[in-house]
Amino acid sequence: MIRRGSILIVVAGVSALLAALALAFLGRMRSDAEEMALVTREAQAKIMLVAACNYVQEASRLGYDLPGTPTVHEECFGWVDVRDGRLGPKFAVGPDDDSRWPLHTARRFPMYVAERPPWAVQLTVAYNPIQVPVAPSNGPWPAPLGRPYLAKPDPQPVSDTWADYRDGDGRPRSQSTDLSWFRLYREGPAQFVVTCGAGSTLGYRDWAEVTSIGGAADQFANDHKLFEAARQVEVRRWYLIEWNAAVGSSDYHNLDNDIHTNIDNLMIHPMNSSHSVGVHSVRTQSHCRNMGGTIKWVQRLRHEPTHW
Amino acid sequence: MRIRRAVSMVELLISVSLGLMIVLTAFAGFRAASASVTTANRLSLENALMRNGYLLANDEVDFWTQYDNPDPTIPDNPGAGLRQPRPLRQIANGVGNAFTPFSVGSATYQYQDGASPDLDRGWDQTYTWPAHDPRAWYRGDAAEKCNGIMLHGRYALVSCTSPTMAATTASAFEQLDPTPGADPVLDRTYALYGDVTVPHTWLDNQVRGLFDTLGWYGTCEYMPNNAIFECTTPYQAGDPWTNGATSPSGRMWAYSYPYSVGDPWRFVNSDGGQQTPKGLWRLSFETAYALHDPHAGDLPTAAAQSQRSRRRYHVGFTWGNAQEKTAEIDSFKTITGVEVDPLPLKPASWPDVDVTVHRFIRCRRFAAISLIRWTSPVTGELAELSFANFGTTLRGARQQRHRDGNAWAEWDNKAGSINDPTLDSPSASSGWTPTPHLAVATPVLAR
Repeated sequence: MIRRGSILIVVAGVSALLAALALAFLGRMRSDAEEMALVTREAQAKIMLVAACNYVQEASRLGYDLPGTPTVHEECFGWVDVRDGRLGPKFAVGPDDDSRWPLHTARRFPMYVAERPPWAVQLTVAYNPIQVPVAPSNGPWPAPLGRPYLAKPDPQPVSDTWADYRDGDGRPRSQSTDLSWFRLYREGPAQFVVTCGAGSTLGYRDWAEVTSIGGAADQFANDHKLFEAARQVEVRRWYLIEWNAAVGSSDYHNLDNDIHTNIDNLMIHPMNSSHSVGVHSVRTQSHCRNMGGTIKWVQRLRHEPTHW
Repeated sequence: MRIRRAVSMVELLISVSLGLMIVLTAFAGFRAASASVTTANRLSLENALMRNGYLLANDEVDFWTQYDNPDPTIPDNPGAGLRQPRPLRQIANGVGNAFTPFSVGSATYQYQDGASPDLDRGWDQTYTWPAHDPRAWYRGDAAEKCNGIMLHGRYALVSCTSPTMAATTASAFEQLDPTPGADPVLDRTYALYGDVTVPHTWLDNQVRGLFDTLGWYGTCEYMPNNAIFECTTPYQAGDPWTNGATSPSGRMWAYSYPYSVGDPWRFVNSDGGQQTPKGLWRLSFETAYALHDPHAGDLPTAAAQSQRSRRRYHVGFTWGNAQEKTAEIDSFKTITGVEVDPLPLKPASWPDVDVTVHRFIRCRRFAAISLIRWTSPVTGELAELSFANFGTTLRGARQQRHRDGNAWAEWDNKAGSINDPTLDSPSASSGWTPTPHLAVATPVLAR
């Protein structure tokens, strides 16, 4: 009995030791994870800055569908219209004003991952893999072995119908909601205050703003404290950005270098055509397509501005 | 007879052995526990330092304080061995650096509200370079080399830095013909136009002013993304090594001719000898522009800083072997990395953590690469985390800083508020006055 008791004491002691170790380790890791949450939120806020800049670029030209013309995707000509320098974005035909986004107004963009975006394609790497003999053998091989047949279309849509492929499934994936948002305030013709948020306030500034918008408080169970709790742990960063219509430069590639002379002549490649000749492929900008303009500059604001 | 209880020698030996085993097991357990706790603490400390490094790198990308620290408590000349807090505001021989205020920058680039938009001069921080504005349109000959003979015409008559130009001599072009009479192309006759009023001067002055005030990196950022980086002036005789001299067509050699002695300090790359005016893609596909570490030991003078701000880097595109390419990258990293010290007073037993930020332009991309590197004091193991960051640009950083003295410039859009002048603002004596913010209808949230 004495010996059994000794073993029990030893086993219990070692178990307690292991448990203490595990607890200490878990406690430490939990503490690390909590501290890491701040870093994660900082990273999410930075991602929101990129998302906001992308939105500003795309919305300058590409992004308007009017209810009255369901089959037409209306193109615009920039926040500062490239044709006349007036406030945009304006359509080719239509009102000559900034009604798409009036000056000194803000919009918020809670971000999430859609179940399936429009025009989603499968992630299949190779639809038409080249088949080879199971055992090594010298050719000629009978077809289809070794043949790069393009028997299947590449790529292929995720959806089964054209309508599903075109429209996607815009429902948010549940794990991706309430994590981050951005908000844009049009400060000037091409200047925006970007607020980057990592948290679950959905881009509302404060409870007063939530209650000023019909139905908005429902998203927070009409609970002021819930909203404030979300706001307390949220990371918010403010940036000032400016959009510009400029994209790539239209410079030339002179062919006279290729024929080893040193005087000018009229043999020039215009922009985007010189990628076809060997090493000169790096001299073209054809791989930098950009239809939405550029972000001219970005400035982190040190303090929360009055309007955002 | 009473039986006295006792243990035999064998039993004693067995019990001692068992006891020893128990003690040894317990000791090993405690030792393992102790080592585990130490390891967990060390890993946790490394994680904490890594997190701190990441946040510091983010902060540096957004506020640029290692290039220019506007903290008013740090004097401009802090003493021997200490870092100059604002080394890139210096100006030498009329040229500045990335943080030189426009108000004290190049003399030819001072703010002036001209009689017509084309005669405006200097940097206007409110101007957005709209695409429809004719004064911002490039009017040079994009197909002509800097050492060309103007077969397409003399474009400087249309656009250059000077509102008037004397086109009264053909000598500049005849200099290029080594064998007169031998080549009918080179023997062409050049028209003389006399004294010409040049209709477009704003853009060339902008390019020249930015080159002179900010250096290469800053110029690339301040010009719009479709800019052709060319600066034409009235013809000035001289070879490419003569200060102020131009090509026959009036292109300033310093900004258009790629070859130089020593550091590749010319603005344009050789690009196979093409030498035509270029946009940012072609200027940076073969070579890179970068902001250098202004605290490097070999940059004690303002002149040295200004020269370092005007060089390009052969990196990532070379015909050399792998060893040469590696040497290029190493040199580039050394010159361009600014180090942030995350914990200057940390105990010696803690892991070493280095945070470095590199800023450069390559293939038209403005990159801010952060490196966080930590070394275990126990194992000597080195780990590195590198990532591209996105945040405040150079112009944004300059707008964060006050024009007068050493301070941050405050910005707010409250109705009636007038924001502080910044490094991009004209001088107080220029006549420029900032406009107050307008009142805004509230609420501002549209949806």
